[in-house]
Amino acid sequence: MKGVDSPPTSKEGMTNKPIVTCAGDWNLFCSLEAPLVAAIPQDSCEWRRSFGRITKFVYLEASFVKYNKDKVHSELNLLKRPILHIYWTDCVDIEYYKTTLREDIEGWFKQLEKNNITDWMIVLVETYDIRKTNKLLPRTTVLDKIKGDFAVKQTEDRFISVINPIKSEARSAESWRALVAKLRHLVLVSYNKTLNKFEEYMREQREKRNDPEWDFCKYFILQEQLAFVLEMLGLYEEALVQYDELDALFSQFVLNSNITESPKWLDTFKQQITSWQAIRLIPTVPLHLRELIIKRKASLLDFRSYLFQRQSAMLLLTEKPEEVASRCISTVHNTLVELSLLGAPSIEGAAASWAHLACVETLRVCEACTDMQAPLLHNAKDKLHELGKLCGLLPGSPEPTSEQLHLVVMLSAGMGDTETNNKSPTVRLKEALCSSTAFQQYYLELAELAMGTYKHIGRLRFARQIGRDLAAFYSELGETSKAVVFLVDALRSYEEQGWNELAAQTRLELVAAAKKMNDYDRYTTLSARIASTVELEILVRNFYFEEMIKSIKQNLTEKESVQTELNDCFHLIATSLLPSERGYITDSKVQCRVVIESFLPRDVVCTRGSICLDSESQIDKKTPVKNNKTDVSVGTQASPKKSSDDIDPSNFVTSIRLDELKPKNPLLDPMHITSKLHYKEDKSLQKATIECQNPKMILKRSDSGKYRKPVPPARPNCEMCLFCDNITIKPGVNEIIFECLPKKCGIFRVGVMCLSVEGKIEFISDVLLSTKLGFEVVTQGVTVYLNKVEPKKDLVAGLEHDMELVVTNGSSRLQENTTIHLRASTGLHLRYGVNSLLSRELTIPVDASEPFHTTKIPLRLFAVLMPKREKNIEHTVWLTCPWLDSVMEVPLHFSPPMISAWKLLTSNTRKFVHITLKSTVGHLVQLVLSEPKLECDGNTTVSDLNPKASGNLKVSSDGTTASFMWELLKDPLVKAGPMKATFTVQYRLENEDISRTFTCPFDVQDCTTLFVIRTKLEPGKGSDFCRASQVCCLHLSVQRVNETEYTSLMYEVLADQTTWAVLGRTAGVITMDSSTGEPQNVTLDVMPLVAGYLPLPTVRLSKYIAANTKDLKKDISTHPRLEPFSPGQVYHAGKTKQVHVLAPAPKEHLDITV
Amino acid sequence: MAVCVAVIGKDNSPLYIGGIGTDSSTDNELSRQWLVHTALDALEERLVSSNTNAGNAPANAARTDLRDLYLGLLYSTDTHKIYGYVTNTRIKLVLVTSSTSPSGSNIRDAEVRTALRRLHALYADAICNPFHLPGDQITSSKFDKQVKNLMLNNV
Repeated sequence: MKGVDSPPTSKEGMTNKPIVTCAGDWNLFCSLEAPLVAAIPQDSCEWRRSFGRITKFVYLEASFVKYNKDKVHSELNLLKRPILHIYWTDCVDIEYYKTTLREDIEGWFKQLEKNNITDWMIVLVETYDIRKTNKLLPRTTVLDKIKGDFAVKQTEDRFISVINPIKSEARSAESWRALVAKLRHLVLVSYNKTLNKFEEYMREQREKRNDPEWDFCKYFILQEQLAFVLEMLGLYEEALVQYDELDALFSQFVLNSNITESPKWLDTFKQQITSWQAIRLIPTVPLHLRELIIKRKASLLDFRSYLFQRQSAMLLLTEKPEEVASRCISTVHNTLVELSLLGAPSIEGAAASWAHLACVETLRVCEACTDMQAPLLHNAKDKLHELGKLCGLLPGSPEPTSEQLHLVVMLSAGMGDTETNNKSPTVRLKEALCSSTAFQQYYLELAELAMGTYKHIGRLRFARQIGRDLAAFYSELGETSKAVVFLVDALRSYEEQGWNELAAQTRLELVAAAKKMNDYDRYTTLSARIASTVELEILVRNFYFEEMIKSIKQNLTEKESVQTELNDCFHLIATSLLPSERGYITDSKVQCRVVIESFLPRDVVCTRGSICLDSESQIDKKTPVKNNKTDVSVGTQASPKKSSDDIDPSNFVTSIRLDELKPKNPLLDPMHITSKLHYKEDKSLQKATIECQNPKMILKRSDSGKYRKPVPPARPNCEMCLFCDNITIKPGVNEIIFECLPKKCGIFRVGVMCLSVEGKIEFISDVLLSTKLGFEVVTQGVTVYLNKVEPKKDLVAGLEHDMELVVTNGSSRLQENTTIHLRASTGLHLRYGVNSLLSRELTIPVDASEPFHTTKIPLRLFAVLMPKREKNIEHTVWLTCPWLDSVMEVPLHFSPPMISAWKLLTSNTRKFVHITLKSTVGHLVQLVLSEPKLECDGNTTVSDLNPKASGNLKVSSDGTTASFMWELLKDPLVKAGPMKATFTVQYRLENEDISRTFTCPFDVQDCTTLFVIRTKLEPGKGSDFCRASQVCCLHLSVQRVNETEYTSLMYEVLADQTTWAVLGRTAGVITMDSSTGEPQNVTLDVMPLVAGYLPLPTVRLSKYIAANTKDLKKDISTHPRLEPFSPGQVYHAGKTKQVHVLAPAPKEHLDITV
Repeated sequence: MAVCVAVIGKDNSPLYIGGIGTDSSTDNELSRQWLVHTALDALEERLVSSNTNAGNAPANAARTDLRDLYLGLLYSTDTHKIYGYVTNTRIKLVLVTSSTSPSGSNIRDAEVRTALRRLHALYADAICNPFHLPGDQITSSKFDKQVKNLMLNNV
């Protein structure tokens, strides 16, 4: 430090401390230098600058040199120029001052003035003297003298006295501090002045930049001085500004050189590039590079390296390593551009080596900021790849040629061999260039690291791109499987975000990898996909189409099939289920029309297409109702009530366009915006707003779930499918009909669709799963009806009816040899065929027939007419069918053809039977009757009283009845008892020949006439006529005509009280003498109440059973009682007799007679 | 000036990519698409950072940042520079310049900003077409022509 002229450049790292010269007593200064140098940086000092620049507090350092009057420094050399001149003296003796010192100072001053220097200071070092301080008034000191001699305006403060700290440390502190502060202040004042001057000069120089003689290198060194000073002062940011200005200036020159004529100095940078040493990010100045710049021997790379290192140094000093990283990238890019612009000759790869090393070096600096590491790594990796390519180190390339080996040597040489540190990037790069394994290892390391870092900072797209590079690398390396992983990842992300062309490109890479791996599945599917990528050229597409077909035929012959997504090659446009007339019924075809667009460039044969049908299993099994009853019609089916809406078949759609499935674009919805006016309290307008009512609806995120990993749809494995076979799918829109025959019923949903192309590639799509496309299949079972041929007519027993057995196949097919067994209840007979016999059981064969065929089998049915007078006759037919588990029961309801009624009529002792026949059948039936016959049992015979032409009698249900009459001829000797009689008649329908017998049995009891009652009315005594209101005499005689045990009889006169008044007793008991047939006579007085022909009062005769008085024990009843006779036992002979009653006699006549 | 211009939708899928220039092995339409695609990463990063800035309290400066739709240089490669711009509806406009071409290398930030603003205006015009569905790719030939013109004008 004490060296008078030690050049700063020789110092390590070139520190540019302000230079302060010392004149005067050098030895004195030397004693003080050490504490002074130490003291100056200890505190900051405020630096006030002109031109309104920001005031800063800076820490200073200083280096002191002995003043050399011969050495004059240019004002323009900021670094070597002393910034302050100090004159040191410790003179205390005024006399000495006057004689010697003054002259010396004067000489110093003159020299300074000559050099136009105004930054100086005179320091008087005093020794502390107690005596002096004791004095109240100081004498004129040497300092005062000096001031008096040299001070001019405003320079008084440049004279300072200081107490020598070496000799009396304790007392000197204050004055010493003042000295140091003053020193700092003056240095800064000087700097301010100097820099202003310098900057002015610098600007001047810069303005000349378009002069042909102007030299950038010179200017660079000039301006850099400013940067150095600023750096020294700790103003790193401002120093950086200087470098940035230089950078910009240079870049502009280079860029302009492309357009306009380039200045001469630029040729410097066009020189051969021989060195591409790694930049070193250290705070010291790389002097060798600076030297080159000064000597104009710096190549572009040297210059750029230097500049970048300085810039980084400034940035690192201000602790901005991330800025270093980002600047590194741009510097590297700019430099490469500049290299090409300037056309500086160099060996190939030099720039790449340089760029690589720059990136890797920078990486070491900014380890803390991962954000910036990734691009650096990326760049380093790219450059390394470039080098590898040049040197033949890439996998898959042939052995390096001698030129390439030579290149490696050249490149290594250019990097220099400054460091031996194993980890240095230069060493790594050299190693990597030496062997391909080292290269590969290094490359992979960088690439993986770059990718990982990109992923870490969320730059997935960059990561994918590196993934692609890696894939290419691995692919060359022969590790195709690794490559595929990266490619698949990349492909997926491109597909997801709709970058079709990028995806197509990646697919091309993937297909090549698949071919290399002999992964024929992937190869084939990818070929198909590529063939249908519209973004690609048709030649490429055709080629891969051929490849696909070839691959199917050659490589996939042994395999079952490969599966891929339908959307790869086809676009499903619409699907609809074709409506079926009867609905979807088991065993009947269900058809589904699918419209797809094929993107394949040529026709392709779809060997088999299928659409899986998912049966909704929740639906209960009872839905298909098998119809057992003849009177329930099939087809109406209760929809499953408990099932949710989702599987409710009514919610199913039968047709869908896939476009409709896309979520509605919310941007197309009208936005509900309203305008509102807001008023203040005083009704003046405060503000007008527009408000969106439902911002959430409109602003909702639509891109969530974007990175969902697509799951390739599984191949359907379902029981039921819609199929189509061997269909040629043309490029463009195709319509395919899928069909199936549902074997079981249920609700089916359209599910996964699968097109098998050429039998080997299955294109699978599950888009239909999300649709509600579905249908319900029901079974329409075989139904059997037993029908009347004429349904409006009732069934009539005793007549043969035409019936038919109707077999409706429904959706099933009737097999051959199907028989239906019929069994009828007792009394019902069936006949199949015209001439066969009637029988209770029948087995009827049914012909084999197609579904929905109806077979009608004619039958005849006859219900035997029972001799009963029932109004309804019930019968049943049981049908046994092979398709039914249980026996089918058909109830049949018959009515009788006729109903008979009979009556027993009596005339005295003669008895007659009267029979009436009528028909109650609902529809019109006319029966012709013949051969009526009454047969009685026992000894009773009948005499036929019917006309002989009764064969023409008709009974009809319109009300025509037929009557027959017989007299019962009874042997009077035989005691009458109960008698059975049977009426038979032959009947036939008018248009039929066969007559059947109608039988009606009846019982007759107590029909023998026992008593005959006769009544006679006689006028009262003294009159000839019966007159009203005159008592007449009623003679009543009861005669026994047949033997009977009843002797006590009671008679009752039952007179109509409006016509007759019975006087006296109306009833009485008479006892018939059993031995004689004499009639008993009773006479009663009766009075007719009205005139006219009056029927006689009727008499009722009853058995009188007297009260049992003899034996009280035997008979419970102690009262007499009456028992009626049967109707035929008492014959009332005068029942219909009438008597003429005259009107009552006039009263006047009576009076006259009196 | 520009070799490629891209309009990218809200969901990061390309709505329009137009490029001009020679198709060479290093500079072709596909390579430009890669550039644009990766630029999205940088673009989204900017958006996120500007959002978080806005979230922080010293808002005013950040808010003006947010209002500035031009995002500046997104990243650069040896041969290209990629600039970004995002509309208020998160439509991203990306402009790629070639550093190897004389005009591209010399481009100023302000020029790019103007170009992207003009592109924004063109885009707005294009989607004003009532028959254009928002979110669909822009197929308008007029737009294409105008964009190509925009790119060429400054070349």
